Amino acid sequence: MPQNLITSILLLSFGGFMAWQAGKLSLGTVHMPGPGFFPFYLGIILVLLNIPILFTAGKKNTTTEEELKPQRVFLTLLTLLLYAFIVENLGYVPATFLFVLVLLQLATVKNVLFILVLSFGISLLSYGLFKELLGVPLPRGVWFF
Amino acid sequence: MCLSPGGFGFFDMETVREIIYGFSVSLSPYNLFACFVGVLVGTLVGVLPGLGTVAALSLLLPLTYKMEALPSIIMLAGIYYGAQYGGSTTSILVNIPGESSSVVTCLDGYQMALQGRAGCALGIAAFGSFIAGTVSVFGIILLAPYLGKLAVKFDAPDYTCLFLLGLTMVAYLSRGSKFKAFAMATVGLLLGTIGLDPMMGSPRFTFGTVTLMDGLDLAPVAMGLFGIAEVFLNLEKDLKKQDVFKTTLKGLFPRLSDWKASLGAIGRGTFLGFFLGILPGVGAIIPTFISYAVERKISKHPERFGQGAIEGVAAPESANNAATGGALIPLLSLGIPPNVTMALLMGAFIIHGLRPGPLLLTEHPDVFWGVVTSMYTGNVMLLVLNLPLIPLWVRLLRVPYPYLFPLIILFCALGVYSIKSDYMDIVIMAIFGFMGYFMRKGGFEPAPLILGFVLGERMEEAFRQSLILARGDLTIFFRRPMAALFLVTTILIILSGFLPRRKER
Repeated sequence: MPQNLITSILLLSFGGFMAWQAGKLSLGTVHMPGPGFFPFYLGIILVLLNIPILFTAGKKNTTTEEELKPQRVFLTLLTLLLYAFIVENLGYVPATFLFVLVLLQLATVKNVLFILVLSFGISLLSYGLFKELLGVPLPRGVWFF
Repeated sequence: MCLSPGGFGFFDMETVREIIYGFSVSLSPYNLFACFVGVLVGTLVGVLPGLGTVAALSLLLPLTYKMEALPSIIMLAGIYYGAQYGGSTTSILVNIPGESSSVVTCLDGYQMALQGRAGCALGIAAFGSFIAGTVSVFGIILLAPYLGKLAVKFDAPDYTCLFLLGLTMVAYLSRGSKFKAFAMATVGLLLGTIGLDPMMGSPRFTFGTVTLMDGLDLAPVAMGLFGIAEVFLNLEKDLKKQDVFKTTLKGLFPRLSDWKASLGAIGRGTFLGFFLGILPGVGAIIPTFISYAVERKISKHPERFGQGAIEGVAAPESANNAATGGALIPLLSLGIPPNVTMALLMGAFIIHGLRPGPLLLTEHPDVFWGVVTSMYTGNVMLLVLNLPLIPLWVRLLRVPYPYLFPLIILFCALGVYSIKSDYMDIVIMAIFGFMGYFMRKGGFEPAPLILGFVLGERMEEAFRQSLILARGDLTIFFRRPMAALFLVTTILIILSGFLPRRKER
């Protein structure tokens, strides 16, 4: 299925969903519009706008078929999400160390020792920069960092 | 340059006094330092192809939370126009645009570099940018207060239509299908309704979560859609090494003959860039293309373009810098961000408790004049800094992307986390990152979305107020002259957008 068809269907569902949810809030009247008024009509507009997109979708193949590696994107997304969930429990430095380690691995950097040193350096340096210098509160986790 | 800093012929005494006051604010050590950091980071961001202004701004936005309002905005604005200086460096030396607004510069800039005139190309880009930046600062001083005075009289219906016009222009001018662009703007408006109802305070679309009570924050949404999505798009491709042009950078000061060839181009580029930049949706990219086309058209030797014509570097590089100045006008005087970067800058204003718009000039003259004058200082710094730092940037460009992208993602994550110390913001950013990546592959541009998102709350408020004011009479939008003017323009634009096209570009 072409990408723009999927996107369009998703947007259409999003519009429908928002209109449905907004309908459950009070719509009010034109004289006194309620909280649901604006999002309800926006949802309807979004659904309507997607009808012509749906009909034209998939007609032309715009994607130039050079070798793409979407799996790299999915893995990076997964790593980022995992990082978000572990960073507060594990603490900033260990979590970031693992995070950078995995990402460098993904990007086909070969030298293992180099990766280890680089990940360690980045996690420590960024901790120093953001926490100590800029005063950003970073999670400490179970260890000292 | 006909405008001297003390140009009494152009400004009345009061304006001159305001400018001097502005400099007294922006030249204070702290603000000066903020400006310096801003333009330096801006140049860096401009040089690095994988990192755009939007990502950089959303990255540094959270870091300004603890700073005062004025230095924060001075710094963020510095990133914005500084990036235009840096973008040309990569275009000329690597033939890859460092910023999307430096795409055209590649055409002749890289050719000049191949002919051993890289120094000259870099030099004329910097000087052209400086002249354009300076002129646009004076343009802001002349135009913004005037527009602001006009906008003070605007009421809710006028604003509703003005927001609608701004959104329509942004959607209309974005690439690809108009339906898709308008759909994106609508999605942005819808996302803006998440959180508490602005007028009654009842929660909407929060699904019982605390995270969504205050609505979605601008930073995670923008950083996801632009920063993370950009990284995803790059990751998908083969991570090749970039070839940095190896050359000795001699003769950064253009010769007299180069000046003669490019002075007219700089002037025209500046003029076009500034006035086009004011219009919502135009941004800094379109003026570069137009000014390049103009130069080729009026040149006696159009065949030289693409073969290393110095005008082909001077004109677009001036145009993009002038456009960045022009784009500040609707933000400062009307409270309407004409492009994504300005939307983020508007976010910075709001975070610091300031509302950009007609009242900014009277309520916070220190902010208005401080920011505007800092742009002049920033341009001077960029001119002085940029050229000697080029060897450093070249070395940075040799850092391969596999080492760069984990850092970009990490800094984005850090940036959003620091807002509320809530890991859910990283999750939101990741989700929007994937959305942005996916949408762009389907031909959906994220720019109208972010503008809809930023304007959403205020547009809804203005719209509902208008309806209450008019007791449900929708003709109120046609009965007020300003509102009617904006609305008719909007309708005309929409109609022209949906007319059958000969060919989709």
